[in-house]
Amino acid sequence: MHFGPILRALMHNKTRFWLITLEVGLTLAIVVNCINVTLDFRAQYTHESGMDEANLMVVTTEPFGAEFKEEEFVENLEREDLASLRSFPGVRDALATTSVPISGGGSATSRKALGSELDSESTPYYIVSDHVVDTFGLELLAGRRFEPGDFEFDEDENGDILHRNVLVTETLANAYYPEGDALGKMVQNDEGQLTNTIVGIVSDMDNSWPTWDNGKHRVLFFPGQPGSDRRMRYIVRVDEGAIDSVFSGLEQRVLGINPERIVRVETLGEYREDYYSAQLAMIKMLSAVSFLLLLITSLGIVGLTAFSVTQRTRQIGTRRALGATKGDIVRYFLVENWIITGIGLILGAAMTYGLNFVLVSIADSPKLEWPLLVGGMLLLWVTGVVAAYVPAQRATLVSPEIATRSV
Amino acid sequence: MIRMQNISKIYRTEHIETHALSGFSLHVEPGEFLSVMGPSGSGKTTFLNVAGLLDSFESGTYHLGGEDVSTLSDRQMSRIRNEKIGFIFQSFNLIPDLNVFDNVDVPLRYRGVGAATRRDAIEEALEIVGLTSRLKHYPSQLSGGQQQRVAVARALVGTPGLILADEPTGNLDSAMANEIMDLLEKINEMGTTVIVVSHDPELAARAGRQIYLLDGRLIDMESLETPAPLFKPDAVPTQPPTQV
Repeated sequence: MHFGPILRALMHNKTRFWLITLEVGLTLAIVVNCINVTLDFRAQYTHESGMDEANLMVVTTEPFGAEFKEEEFVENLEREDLASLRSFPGVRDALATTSVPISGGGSATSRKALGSELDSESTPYYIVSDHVVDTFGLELLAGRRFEPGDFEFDEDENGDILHRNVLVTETLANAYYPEGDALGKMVQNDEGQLTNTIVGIVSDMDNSWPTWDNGKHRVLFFPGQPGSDRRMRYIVRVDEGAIDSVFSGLEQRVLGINPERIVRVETLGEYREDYYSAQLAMIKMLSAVSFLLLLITSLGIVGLTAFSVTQRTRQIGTRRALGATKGDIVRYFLVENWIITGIGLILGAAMTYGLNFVLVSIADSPKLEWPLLVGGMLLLWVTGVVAAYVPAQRATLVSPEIATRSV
Repeated sequence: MIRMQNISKIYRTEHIETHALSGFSLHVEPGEFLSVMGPSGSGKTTFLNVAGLLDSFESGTYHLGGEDVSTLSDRQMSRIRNEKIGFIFQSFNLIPDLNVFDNVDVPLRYRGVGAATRRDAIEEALEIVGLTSRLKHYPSQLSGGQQQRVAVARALVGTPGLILADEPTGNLDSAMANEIMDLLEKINEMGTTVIVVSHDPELAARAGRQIYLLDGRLIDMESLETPAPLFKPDAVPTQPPTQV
């Protein structure tokens, strides 16, 4: 192997060497960090929500009839809607809710363990009808589901409900009571006049803001009557694979009960796509940037090797005259390329971590794991070899007799 | 060392065929010092290319060191060029990005010789040409004469039986040219067959035997009354050429 002389020859022609080395290093730094961010976004987008998400639909109705101003009318209609939705062929269960998980819209309050001196915990919540566990497809880890009695409570003169029973997710239960003994215990708001008893703990699920790190998997379910004169919203869980057949009939079903409202039927998957639309766009953009950079660097290597072959035609002829086989000539250019790419990649590894450090500090990007860097280095190394091979192969066409030709 | 019989070499373009060598036969004994002369286009370089296995030929047979090299593969020809032949070119053909040591090292690396043996051989070859003090110099830091001496060291480092020199003094002044010819004589005295292509009758005369080419054929100089016109570009022999 001619490693030593090739390296020394490269070092003798420093400008060309460092330009392409720098290009390889920069490409590695940018591509690996792009892929790192892309993978993080992708992991966020594709993570399990904890619900039976593939079979969940959202029916939103916006009433315009005058009778919706009456609370009792809404309450009765909601009951009627739920009964009708639950009996629709292919529907497994349904509930009424104030807002929708993975939608970016919802409510949060503050609660902490009863009598705790600590700060309150952020508590995203939904006011829901019954059938919470089965509609979302959650697991009841401890305690019980809502019972009819949970929906009967008194309000004070301000309309506040001073006490009611609640269901919470496991993560939220442990946030209130880190010992894991939350079931049956009470939580309170900051002032202490509103209290709740945890009657059931369910498996974790995404709330309305799954990318909110501090609130991840925290959900509290208040029993109540979520519908209002402005909006009535239902989550519908269908049988496995029945989403298409149910989708088209739900709107008419709801309008058949009361036509004085606008009805919108969507899948929870559509909410997810909306919620992550910025990340999805970013994934596409970063993928395109990575691909383009790789392409530009490959073309750079093709160009460099092709130029190198053209520029060194007589040298190739001389080497052939001195005994180099065609294989030796191809190897020469490939080794030269490996050295350039190799040094570029070592330099690039440092640049990659440097860039990642900056991105972590200023853009809250994920920290780079070394396997991704190694993968990126391999990708660029293979790209370099493939890019150099064709022009290197062309060098074998140079005849040894060119060595004796007059310039 | 060299036995060529009826070698023909034709260069073809779309419209024209050029017979660079035509029925060319030559026998060179081991240890000979031969100079090849002739006007431009007479086939000197083509002869050198064929003799050095740098180029193929259409017909005829060629034995080099007793081995028939007429039908060898490209790989086999590379091996023979590397082991049996040393080349010296008019333009030196040193690799500009390699220093003197690495330039002389090139043929040995293609032979797969170990590092210690290579170092000894390179130092010995540079000793012969008197350039041991310039190991780390690059070609651009050397004079023309010094560059050609490096090329001579490169040609003889692998101890080939045959050295082919294509106008080795063509780019040098007369003092340097004489130095190179002195070196070639010295190498020849060590037992190596040397064939030099040259325009310069004075330098060519230093060879043990001189041959003359015209239109791809050998000329029998004894049959010519005045050989001088051969060296004019439009020279035409006064008698039909004969083969030697």
